[in-house]
Amino acid sequence: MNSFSHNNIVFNNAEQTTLMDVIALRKGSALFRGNVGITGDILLNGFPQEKTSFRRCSGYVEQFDVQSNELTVAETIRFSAQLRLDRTNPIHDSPESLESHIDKIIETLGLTKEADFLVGSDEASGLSFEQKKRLSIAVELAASPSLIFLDEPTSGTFVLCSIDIFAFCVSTN
Amino acid sequence: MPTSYFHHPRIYLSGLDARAALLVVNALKEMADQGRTIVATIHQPSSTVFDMFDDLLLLKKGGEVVYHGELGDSSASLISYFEGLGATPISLGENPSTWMLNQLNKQAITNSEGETESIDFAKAWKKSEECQALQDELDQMKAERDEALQIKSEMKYAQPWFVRDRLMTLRAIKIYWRSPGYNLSRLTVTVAIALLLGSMFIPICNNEVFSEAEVQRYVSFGFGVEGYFLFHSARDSWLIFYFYFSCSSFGAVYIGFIIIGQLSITSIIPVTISIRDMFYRHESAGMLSSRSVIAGLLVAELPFIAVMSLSFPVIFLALVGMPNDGIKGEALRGLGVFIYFGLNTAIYSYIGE
Repeated sequence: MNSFSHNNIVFNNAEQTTLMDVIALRKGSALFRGNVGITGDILLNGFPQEKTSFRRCSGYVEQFDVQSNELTVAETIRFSAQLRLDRTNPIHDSPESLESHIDKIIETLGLTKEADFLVGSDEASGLSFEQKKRLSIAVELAASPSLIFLDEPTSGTFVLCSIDIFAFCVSTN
Repeated sequence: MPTSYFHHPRIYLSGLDARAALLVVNALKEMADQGRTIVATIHQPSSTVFDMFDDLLLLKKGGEVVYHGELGDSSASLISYFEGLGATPISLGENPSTWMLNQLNKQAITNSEGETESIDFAKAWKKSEECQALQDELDQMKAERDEALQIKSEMKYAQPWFVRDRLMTLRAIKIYWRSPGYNLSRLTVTVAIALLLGSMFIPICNNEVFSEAEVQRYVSFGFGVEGYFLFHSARDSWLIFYFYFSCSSFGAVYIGFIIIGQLSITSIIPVTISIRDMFYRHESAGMLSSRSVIAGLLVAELPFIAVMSLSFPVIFLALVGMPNDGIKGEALRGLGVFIYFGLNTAIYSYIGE
């Protein structure tokens, strides 16, 4: 089991997403490192974090993820598994083992019914926001990371969007 | 299960509905049970969702740590820590995360002697036993690190370059094939322009309004249009213009190139933007480099460019009716325009990308 610790990290005016980005080496966190005065050590199993290795063993689910609209759920997950599982990983040994790995992930995230659906866009009856969220997690899980970061996995629509919905309800009254 | 939880102080009006949020968190729990570490930021969780996390790192505005440690069974550790600081005791059935937020918003608490005193939760955390215990634990982890547990990968990518390129190419082809709108619109416009430009030759070439010598004369001025305007009559200028741009098939092909080239650039931009967004995502996940995407797009574009480039000369030359030198001459000329046209479209498309 991995133990993960951030030790003495000091933030100035930083919110928790920034904290997670810094730990996960995401979104220009290198930029922050230089000038906003983030100090401290990031250790992974007691060893200093190192970019290449850390990237390879971690996954990051963004709050608003992008996926190709034209691919199906299973294809999207397969692409991630093919490109991110290490070459020496036994899952790569045969197409069957890869497929069973993907099926397992699809099942874990409860996407069995949607496996052959196109991701689709919001305008053209694609997956729902919440289904896309689970797909994003599935895509990260396909890489079998020991550490997964999730930015707001349970939050959904924009404030504006809900105000729109609310305004619509009022206007139909 | 070291599952961390960061609190999010911003308030949104709405989130995923409770059932959907629970589905997601259940899946996370299952992943954690497989031995993975899950780190998530979250806001306003329901008690059920909140209960599923093991550890909490609570930040207050400004990013200062207010609590970091185990949540305990039904958030017992968290609750006892805050109640120990003098927070209002939690009432039965209250959502611990909501309660915790309400306590944080307080500037003052009632101490054990019943007096009101101001409190800074961040300072209180730094002085607390829990913080000290956590610090000791971290120091101990650092001191007793196990070489066997070091995670190390030498390679930047999991797969060698040819696998990355191949998979990305297959993916790009699939995406192109399944989003025909962009290519169909390109093809339609190509055909339309070929018809339009080609149709200009039908009255002229078939009715022989001008003598051959006249046509020769005007066309031969093609490259000197600007100079010619200065010295000749308006009628001559107009004829030059007319022959240069419409009767000379070179001029027409040239116009076709520009229009279709521009079209390729503008119509490819939205496609490229979505591919680029996707690429940034894949790159930050350490899946592939920009080279694979370029290779993929180059290959995926090829068949469509070929079809477009073929449709233009076929339609155009059929309408223009070149000098009758047999089928072989026709085919050669067609091929010439095709290659030239194909290169042109390709260059424009790739610029667009």
